Amino acid sequence: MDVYTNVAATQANGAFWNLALLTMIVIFILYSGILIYHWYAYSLETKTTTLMTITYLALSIVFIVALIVSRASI
Amino acid sequence: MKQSLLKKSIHVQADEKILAVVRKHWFILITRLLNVVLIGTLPFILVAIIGSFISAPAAEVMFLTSAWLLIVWMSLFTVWTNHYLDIWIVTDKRIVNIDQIRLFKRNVSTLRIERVQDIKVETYGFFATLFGFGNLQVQTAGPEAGFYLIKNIYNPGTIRDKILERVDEVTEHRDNLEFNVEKRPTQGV
Repeated sequence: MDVYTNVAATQANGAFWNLALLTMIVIFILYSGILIYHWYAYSLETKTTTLMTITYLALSIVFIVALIVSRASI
Repeated sequence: MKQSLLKKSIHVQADEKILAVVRKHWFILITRLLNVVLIGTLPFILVAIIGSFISAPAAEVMFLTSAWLLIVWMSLFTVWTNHYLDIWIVTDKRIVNIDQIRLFKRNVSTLRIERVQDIKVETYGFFATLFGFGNLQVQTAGPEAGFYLIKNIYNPGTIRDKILERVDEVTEHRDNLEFNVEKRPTQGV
């Protein structure tokens, strides 16, 4: 494999992981919106809802950061 | 707080008193969450087995692991949402059955206390007996007779007693009214 083919393959590989990261973030945002909407629209207890929202978002952010960091290392 | 939120979400009348808010037992929630966790750990077991034969770059593995864990995390909260929003609200006038089947599938039905005819409590299985949960089936009267069923609630016997107590009060009150109407002397005789 010459240097040009190698660069092209790396770029294609990079685009794939970028797309994967973007897809995950979009899915996360949409799905989280749906979940949080359900909690606040139908829940009977605001305290439980707030607590669950904080817990959910806190650990989700850890996963998102891990995704971004690992993407940067690829 | 709960009363005001209930009023907002299911339109509880001003003079309506909430007797109980019933959910499925926590054991059911734990079982469902464990199912998700077990399915979530399967790829890791597979990777541990296959990983000894092939080698993959660490960054890619970390990316895929994070993505998978995020999906499992969202699934856990979906299970919790379906559990948390699936409730029965027993008031002194009616029973409101909010059936949260899944996200975007939610049935809300109401049964007036006067229409309650019979209540059946069922406890099946080892864990149900151990933790004291079971099914509650409310038989309704009238031309469109049917039944309302809530599965795996904690202490269904107590809820049955609360409903029957209220049904007795309503029936007694109605009988007294009918008796007074029958016994009322007619004017001019």
